Amino acid sequence: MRKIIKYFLVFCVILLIFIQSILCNDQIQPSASDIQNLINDYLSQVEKYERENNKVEAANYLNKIAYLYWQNGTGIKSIEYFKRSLSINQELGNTNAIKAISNNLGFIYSEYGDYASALDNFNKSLKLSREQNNKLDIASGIINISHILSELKDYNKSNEGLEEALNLGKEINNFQIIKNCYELFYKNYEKIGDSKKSQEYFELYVSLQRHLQKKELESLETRTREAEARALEKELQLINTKDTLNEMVRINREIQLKNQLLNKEKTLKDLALKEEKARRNMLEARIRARRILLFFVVIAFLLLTFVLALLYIQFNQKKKANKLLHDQNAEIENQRDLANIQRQKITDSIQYAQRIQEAILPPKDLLDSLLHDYFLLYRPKDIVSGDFYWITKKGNILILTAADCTGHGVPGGFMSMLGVAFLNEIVNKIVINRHISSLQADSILNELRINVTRSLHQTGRREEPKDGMDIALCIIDFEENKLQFAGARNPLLVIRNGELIHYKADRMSVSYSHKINQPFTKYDIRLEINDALYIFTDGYCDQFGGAEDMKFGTNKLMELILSIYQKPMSEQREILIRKHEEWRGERNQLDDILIIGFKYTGKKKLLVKEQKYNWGNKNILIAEDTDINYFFLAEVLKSTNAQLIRVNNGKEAVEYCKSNNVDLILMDINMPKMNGFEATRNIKKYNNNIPIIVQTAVGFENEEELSIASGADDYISKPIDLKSFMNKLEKFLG
Amino acid sequence: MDPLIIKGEENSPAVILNKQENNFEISGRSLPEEVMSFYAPVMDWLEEYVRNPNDKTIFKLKLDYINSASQRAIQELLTVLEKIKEQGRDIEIDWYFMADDDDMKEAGEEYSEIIDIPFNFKSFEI
Repeated sequence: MRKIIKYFLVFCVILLIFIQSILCNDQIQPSASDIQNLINDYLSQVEKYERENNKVEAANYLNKIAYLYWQNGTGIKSIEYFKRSLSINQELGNTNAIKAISNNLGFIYSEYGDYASALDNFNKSLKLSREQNNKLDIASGIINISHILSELKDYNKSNEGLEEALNLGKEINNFQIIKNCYELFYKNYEKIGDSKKSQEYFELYVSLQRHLQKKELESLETRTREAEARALEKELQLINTKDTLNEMVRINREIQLKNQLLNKEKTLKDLALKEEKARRNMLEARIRARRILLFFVVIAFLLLTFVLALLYIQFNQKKKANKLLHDQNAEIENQRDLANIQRQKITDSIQYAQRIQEAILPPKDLLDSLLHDYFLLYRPKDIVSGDFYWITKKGNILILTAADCTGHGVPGGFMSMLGVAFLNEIVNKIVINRHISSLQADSILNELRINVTRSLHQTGRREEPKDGMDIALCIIDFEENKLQFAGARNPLLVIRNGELIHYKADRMSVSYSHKINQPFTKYDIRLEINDALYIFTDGYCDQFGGAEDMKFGTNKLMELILSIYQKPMSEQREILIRKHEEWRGERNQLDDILIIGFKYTGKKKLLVKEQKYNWGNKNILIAEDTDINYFFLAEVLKSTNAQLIRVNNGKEAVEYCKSNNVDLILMDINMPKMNGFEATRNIKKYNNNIPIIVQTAVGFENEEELSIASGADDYISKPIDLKSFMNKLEKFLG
Repeated sequence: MDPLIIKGEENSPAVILNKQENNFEISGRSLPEEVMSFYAPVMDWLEEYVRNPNDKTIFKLKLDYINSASQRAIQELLTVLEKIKEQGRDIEIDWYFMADDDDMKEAGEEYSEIIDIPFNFKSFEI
C-alpha cells in the first residue's frame, strides 16, 4: 500500500518539475537580500567543507556562489570565486570542472571587455578539450575564441578558427555548432567589408536557424504526446491497483475465516475472544479500505486536474511557439533592411546637421576677405564637430575665436551652435548699446560664461554635468596695431622675429566651476607687422601616437610651429596635417582638431573696402551732449577724413553756424539749453542751405515727423545702421 | 576587504586598489566609451574603503590623458577620498606626470585647488 502512495508522490513531483521546466520563462527573480543571504549560507557551507577537508563539496559551493554573482551582474566577484574553485579543482585534477570554470571565466572577462584574459581562459579550456579529444567541446571552445578575436578586430584569425570549428561541427553533425559558425562568419565578413561572403553566410545561418527552430517545435510536440501517453498509462495503473486492493481485502477476510475455523476447538472463552478480535480486525480492514479508496479518489482528481492544466499549457505554448517562429522569420528578413534604412537615415540626418553647422561657421570667402594671409586647419573627428571657429568684423577691429565644446560629434555640434549664437549676441549687444571700443576680450568671455551657465541651468550642484567650452578669443585692432587676448584653456601663440611668445590661457572652461566668480584674464599685446598668430583647440596636441604611443603635446606643437612659421600659411597647414598623420599612424583620431594661423599685415589691407568715402574737405558739425554717442560717430567718420566739430547743445550749434562754414549738421534731439528741433528751426531761419540730419531714437515715431516739421533734411534712427548712415551722408556731401 | 584590480586598456586606465597591501593606484589614459560604468566599481570600492581606511593612505594617480567626462569622474573619486581626512586618518595624493606634459601637471594642480587633500607632484620620464 505504502509503495503505491510513494509511487504517486514521485509521479506528482516529476509532473511538477516538468511543468516548471516548461514555464521556466516565468521564474520569479529573487531579491538582492535573498541573494546575499543565499551567498552567506553558501559561504558557511564552503567553510564547513573546507574544515572537513571535503574539497569536492567546497568547490561545488564556491561555484554556486560564483554563478549567483554572475547572474546578478557582479562579474568581478564572480571571477574571484570561480578562481578559488578553479584552484581546488586543479588540486583535485578534475579536468571537466577546470574546463567549465575556465569557460565561464572567459565569458565573464569578455562581458567586461577584458578580451586578453578572456582569451587566456578560453584557450586553457580548449587545450583540455583537445587533450580529451572531445570534439563538441573543441568546436565550441574555438567558437568562443573566435568571438573574442572578432571583438579584437582580428577577423582573419577569427575566421581561421571558425573553419576548424565548422569542420568539427559537420563531423559530429551538430547543427548548433554549425549555425554558430555561420553566424560569426557573416558578422566577420560584414566587418571586413566582404559583403558577398557575408550575405552567403547570413543566408546559411538563417536557413539553419529556421531548421533548428522547426526541430525544436517538433521536439516540443513529441514531448506533449509523451506526456499525454504517460498520463493515460497512469490512469490505467490506477484502475489496476483498485482491483488489486479489492482482491487483497477479500483474501484478508478469507484468512480470517480460516483462522476462525482452525480455532473452533478452543475454549468458548478463547472463541469469544478470537471472534471479537476477528471482528475488530475486519472492522479495521474495512475502515482502512474505505480510507484508501477516498485517498485514491482525491489523487485521481488531482491527477486529472494536472493533466488538464498540462494540456492547456502545452496547447498555449505550441500556439505561442508557432506565432513566435512566424514572427521571427519575418523579423530576420526585415531586420537587415531595417538596419540599413535606419543607418542611412541617421547618417543622412547627421550629414544634414553638418550642413547646418557649415552654414553657421564663417564661410571661406569671408575669412579670405578678412584675414588675407592665414590658414584654417579644421578636421572634425566625426561628421559634425564640437570645435568651432568664429570671426566678425566691427569697424577697424576683428574678433577671431577658436573654441572646443564638451564632447565631439552630435552633442559637441549642439554646443557649438550655442557658442556661435551667444558670441554673436554678446558682441552685437556691446557694439549697439555701447561702442566698438567697449569690446574687451575678457568681458566677452565673462559674458559668454554667464550665458552658457544660465542657459544650461548650471548651478554648481555636484552631480549635474558641467558642459561648456574652451575658447581662445582675439580682438585685433588694425587701427592701433593692438591685440587683446583672453583664453579659456586655449592659448595664443605669437611668433615675432623668430621668438615664440606663449600667452597662456586661464585654467578654467567657459562653464560652471569652482572659479565661477574669477574673471577671465586679458592680455593687451602690441602687434607688429608680420607677427604670426596661432590659436587652436586641444585636439591636435592630445593625439596619441609615435613610437611610444604618447601624446603629441603642446611643446611639440610649439617647436613645430616655430620651425615652419616663415613658410606661406597654406604650406604650414599642409605640414601640420602631414605631421599629425605621421604621428597618429594607424590609430583613430582622438578628438576634433582646429588650428587657425594668421599673419598680421596691418591696417591697409583690412580697410580697403572702407576707403569708399572721402570727405576730406568737408566740415561736419555734430551737436551731441552724450560723449559715447559722439565718439561712436567720430569713430565711424574717421576713415572718411571729414573735419568734425562738436558742440554740446542746440544753442552752441546755432552760434557756431552763424560764424563758420558747415557742410552738414548731425543733430541730436534731447540736449540741454536748446533741443535739436528748436536748434534746427533756428539755423534754417538764417541759413537754409546747411543740410541737417536729425538722429531719432527707435520707438519714438513722432520724432521723425517732428524732425521734418522743424525743417530737417533727413533723419537717421539710432542705433545707427552703418551702411544706410554712410549712404545718407554721401547724399548730402558727395 | 577584497582588492579591486582592473587591467589597463588602450582607452581605460589600470586600477589597483588593495587595502591589505596599502596600495592604491590609477594609471594610464582615461577615455573609456562608458565612463560612468567604468568608474562605478572604483567608486563603490572607495566608498566602502573610506568607512574604515588605513592609518595612512597614499593614492597614486599616474595618468597621461583624461577626457572631459573622465575629469568629472576623477573629481568625484577624489571628493570621496576627502572623507578619510574627516575620520582623522592621513591621506595624500601622489600626482605623477610626464616630465614635459604641462597639461597633466596643470590638471593635477587644478584638482589640488578644489580637493582638500595634500598633493605631491612627481614628474617622471619614460
